Amino acid sequence: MLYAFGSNGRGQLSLGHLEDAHTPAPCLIPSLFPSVPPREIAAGGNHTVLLFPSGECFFAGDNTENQCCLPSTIFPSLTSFHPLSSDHRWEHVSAGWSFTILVDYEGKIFVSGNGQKGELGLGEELRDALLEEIIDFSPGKVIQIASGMAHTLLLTASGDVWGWGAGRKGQLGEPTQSIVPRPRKVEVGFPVSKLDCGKDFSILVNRDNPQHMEILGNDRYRIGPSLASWSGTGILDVQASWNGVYLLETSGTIKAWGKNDRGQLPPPNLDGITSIAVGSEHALAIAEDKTTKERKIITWGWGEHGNCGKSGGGDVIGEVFTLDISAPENVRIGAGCATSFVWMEG
Amino acid sequence: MADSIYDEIEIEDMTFDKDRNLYTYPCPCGDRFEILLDDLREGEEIAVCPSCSLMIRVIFEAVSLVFFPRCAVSCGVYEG
Repeated sequence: MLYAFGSNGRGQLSLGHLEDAHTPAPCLIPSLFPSVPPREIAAGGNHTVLLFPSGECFFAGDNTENQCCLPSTIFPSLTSFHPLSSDHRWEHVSAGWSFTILVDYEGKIFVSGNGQKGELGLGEELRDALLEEIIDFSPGKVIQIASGMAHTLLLTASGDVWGWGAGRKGQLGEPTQSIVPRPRKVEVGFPVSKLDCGKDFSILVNRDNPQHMEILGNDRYRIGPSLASWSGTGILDVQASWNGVYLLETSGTIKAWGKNDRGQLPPPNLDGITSIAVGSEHALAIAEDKTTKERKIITWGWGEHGNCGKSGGGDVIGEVFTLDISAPENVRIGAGCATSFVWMEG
Repeated sequence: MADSIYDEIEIEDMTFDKDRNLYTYPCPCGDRFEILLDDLREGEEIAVCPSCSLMIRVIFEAVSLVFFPRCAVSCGVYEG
């Protein structure tokens, strides 16, 4: 069962219409939809991608720029999830403002959509693509891919980072370049174990010393210095919103820094957190009660489009909102640009 | 007023839509902040999102729009 709520102007919630949803609504899903949880829930400005362990991909939302990997002339927008039929088994996916990056199990990298600032990685001249491969680029085994609004980072098993797209703020490392039109190595000085992309910055975790994290690019909220003084037990997950960084610590607590004018940072007393999903300016988490083991799904932050799940919409500031749906053991969460997703067994 | 300004964005990071004579920039809701070039020239600096309450302040040199509009336009398109 898949639920969605939030901004839906292009059908990105897969509800069969273009109206926002303020509380979790069941998504329309095709008949051949896998019954196992998605491996990735990726979201661009107005499109959503689900990747399943089988290597199958499903898209919903705006496709006017081919960002859903289907011809826009036939499918300008998808108000329900549509499968991507291809011979490829996809292993990784990321989504930026109006583009999607897919990596198949052979390590081939494909791009689809539109990018005026090198987002497609196909060279300076190519700003539109319909599922095209980035050729002459073999970085080795890919273990993660992440996209911000207009830049993408790719992490290899050896801990190397490659990046392309918008680089004016230094989010793709030195030398700072407005447009990095083809993948280039991001020199970070240490092997990386995990990364994510904010709107115009990147966060990288040092594989040799997980206490050490580095911010590249726009750091006007001084997240870098805050991370330098962080001393937690360990990290289960690291995610970036458009203007913030969220650490899920092994102790089940969340540490976050960044923009906080709409309650984007969680209240300090959260514990028992088992997973997080960070959107553009809001977040979801799964919280488990230590004694009863009961799970609940909580949200906080900017919720103008109903993406925090509160009836009538609205921000959740300085507290969390608990969704009015029960959470079984097998549950997954996702978040995008004012969009929220909950997958659960059954 | 200051509280309602979501962000400050340099004009170099915005996209110029030649057909509509409009600068735009992505909004975290999925739509785009918009401001007309003519409004910028008249000293307006707040771009609004048609789909939500968020607004941004556009950071730019007024002189570049008045005396070098082509430069400002091309910067928005190619230099971001």
